[in-house]
Amino acid sequence: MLKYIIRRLGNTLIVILGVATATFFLARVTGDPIDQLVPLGTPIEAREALRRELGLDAPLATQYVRYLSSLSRLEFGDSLRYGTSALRQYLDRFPATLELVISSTLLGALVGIALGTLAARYQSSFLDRAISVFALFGQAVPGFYLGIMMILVFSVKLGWLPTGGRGTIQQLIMPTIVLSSYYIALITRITRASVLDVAREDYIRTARAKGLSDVKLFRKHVLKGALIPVVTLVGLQVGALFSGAVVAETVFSWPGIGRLALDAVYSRDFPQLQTIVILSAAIFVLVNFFVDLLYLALDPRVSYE
Amino acid sequence: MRVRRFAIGLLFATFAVALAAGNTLVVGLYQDVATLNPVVSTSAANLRVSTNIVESLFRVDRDTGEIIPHLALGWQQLDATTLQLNLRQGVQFTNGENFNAAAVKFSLETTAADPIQAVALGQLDHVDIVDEYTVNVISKGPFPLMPLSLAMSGHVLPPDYYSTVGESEFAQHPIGTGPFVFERRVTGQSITLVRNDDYWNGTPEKERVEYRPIPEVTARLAALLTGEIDIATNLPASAHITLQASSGVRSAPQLGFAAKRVVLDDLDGSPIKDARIRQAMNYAIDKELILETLYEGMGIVSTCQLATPVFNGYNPDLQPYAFDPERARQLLEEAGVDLPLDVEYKYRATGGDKELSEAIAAMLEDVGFRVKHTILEGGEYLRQLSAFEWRNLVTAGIVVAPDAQYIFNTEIQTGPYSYYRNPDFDEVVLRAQVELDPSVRTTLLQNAARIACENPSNIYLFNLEDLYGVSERVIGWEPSPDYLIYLDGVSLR
Repeated sequence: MLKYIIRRLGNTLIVILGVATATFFLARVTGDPIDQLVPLGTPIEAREALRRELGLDAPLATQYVRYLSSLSRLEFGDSLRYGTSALRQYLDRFPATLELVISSTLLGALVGIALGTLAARYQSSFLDRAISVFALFGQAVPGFYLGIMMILVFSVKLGWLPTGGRGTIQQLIMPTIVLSSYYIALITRITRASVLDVAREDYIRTARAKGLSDVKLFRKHVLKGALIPVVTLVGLQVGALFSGAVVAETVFSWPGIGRLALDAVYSRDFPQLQTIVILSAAIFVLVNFFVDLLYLALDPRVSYE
Repeated sequence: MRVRRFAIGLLFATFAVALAAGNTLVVGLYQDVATLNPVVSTSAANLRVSTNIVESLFRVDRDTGEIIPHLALGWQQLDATTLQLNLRQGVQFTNGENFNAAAVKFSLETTAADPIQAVALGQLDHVDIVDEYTVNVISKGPFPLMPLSLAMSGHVLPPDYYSTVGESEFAQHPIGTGPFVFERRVTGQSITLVRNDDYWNGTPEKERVEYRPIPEVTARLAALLTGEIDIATNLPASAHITLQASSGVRSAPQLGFAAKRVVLDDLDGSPIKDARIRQAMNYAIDKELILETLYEGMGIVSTCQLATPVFNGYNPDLQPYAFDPERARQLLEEAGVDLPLDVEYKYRATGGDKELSEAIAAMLEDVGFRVKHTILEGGEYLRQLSAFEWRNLVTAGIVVAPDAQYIFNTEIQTGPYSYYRNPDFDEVVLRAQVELDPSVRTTLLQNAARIACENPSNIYLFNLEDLYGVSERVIGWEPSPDYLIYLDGVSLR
């Protein structure tokens, strides 16, 4: 077990090194931050002076070596746009995105599992079809559109919720719904399929033959078996939620890392961009690792020895 | 029980928020402010906040574009390179430091040392202290734009504090002489300023000002309509109708210092090098129609120059190229080109540029051009500008301080990325650059405008209005053409 964990952590480091390298070179292919920093008409000498000041005049290979050596000391550099520590910016904003991702994961998992289970339980009924249509709707409507529509209805027309920002429970409601809408749909469909699969298994038939009540059977046997693929999906989707948060954060002025990332891309803020991508990749890899460990608890057949 | 306590708490919290909001002016910005240190940025998006904390030596009059006294009372050109400034007395920074000649010397020399300030203060050599409230600003050569540059970039910093904390920390906790004092910043969410009770120009009415970045335009407008914010910046022309139809808010358009244009490629090998072809392009475009349909008529058709009427060097005798497709075809024939004439047209997809460029391309095709469209991402667009890859036609904007010199400096051959080649134009502009007699300089700039109209460097389109949405609670605030948001005289109903 310990060996497995160490090996996985080693793999994580390799992934992060790969991501760091790719980000470094890809970002530099796309343009020059100097263009974004100086006003139109700035003389070439002044542009070069700024380039020297920011250390962008050195050959790419030199910049890359410097970059890796700073990374090994966990130094991420200063944001070109904000002029302050890129790590600080990330850490200041991370709680906001985490809050949104957790609330969306909870809402998505709870509603998705409940709806999926209901749909499976009442398979082919009107309720099942209604839930399918609802799920399809959730997957089909772009988050951006849904967000704007919610603002127009719930903030402008009805005056129930604030249009955006962060700090109160009310401000969390709309971004959570928008971010989890796609997710709810996905989990509903997977749960439904998985519950139906498990219900056809031999051990369920045996349990039923032994006279177990429907409710007990479902709670003790069907649900536990059916949740395995759902847990995998939830784990994988946490990463996707982090990237999906860009839309919800932009529409609802939510001060998270999604918006920070978007601004960093637009302004070619290399240090900020690198920090965000590297740390986000690390989180993604670690979350997947924990999901794998979670299987152990859920499924006795799984072993990593 | 616990639920009830929570509910009561929530109620109080809501009430407290409502109370605070009642005494706070809230401004919804279109992007997060990158820095509060005016030394390291020339972007209005950043200066909009810091200008209420750290003040400049001069301001620009919103109606006439003239330079008006602020922390400096006036100036005198002593010789070709010496500009003497008289400073206001009895002004203090909010940390107790004195505003005086030493502070001005420190501030200007610190600012000029930053490469980002090269356009505004690159010509500044050093500052001499004459007495406690008089300085001589020495330029590297004759520099008639110095007073205007001091209005745009002459921000006065408290020398002791700035040199102790440094550039980066100053951006986190700026201190100045302004009507407001920095209170706190919640990353990505808000910046709060509190009133400076000892402000030299009268205590502001409002106790607090809060700035919130609301990047999505519909959300920004919605926040204004629900009363969450009092001023919404950077609204599209289409919001004008919504604002007019809604109660409790008003539409506040302001003609700024910006122009919309299509940069024409006059470099060697360009298919549109012949001036007649570039004239034909100007004749081919129905500017009125585009202004009316895409921008709700919010702006003016440029009068064959990029400057607006408040600019120094604006030429009042110039007229827009009329919409005359027949004349355009005739000019193309005179130029002897084979039709259709292939041209590449580059533009960004954002900010309405795509719709604008498509309309222009259709009108150009109508008179005999065949347009190849290339859509560029914002960063790539800028990279191509400085790499001289903006070939043939490019939809662009330009924003400068209200002096035509700043525009022409970007178009002369020695400019860092000029796509225009015209020795007559260059000669006039270079003379104006060092001409200290204001009336002679104005005439030179007007001549330059005429030359760049007759032998066009651009398709001259419009000077658009910036649209702000303002709550009717706000009294005493009007937008400014320099995009800054001055809040000293503002109160709330």
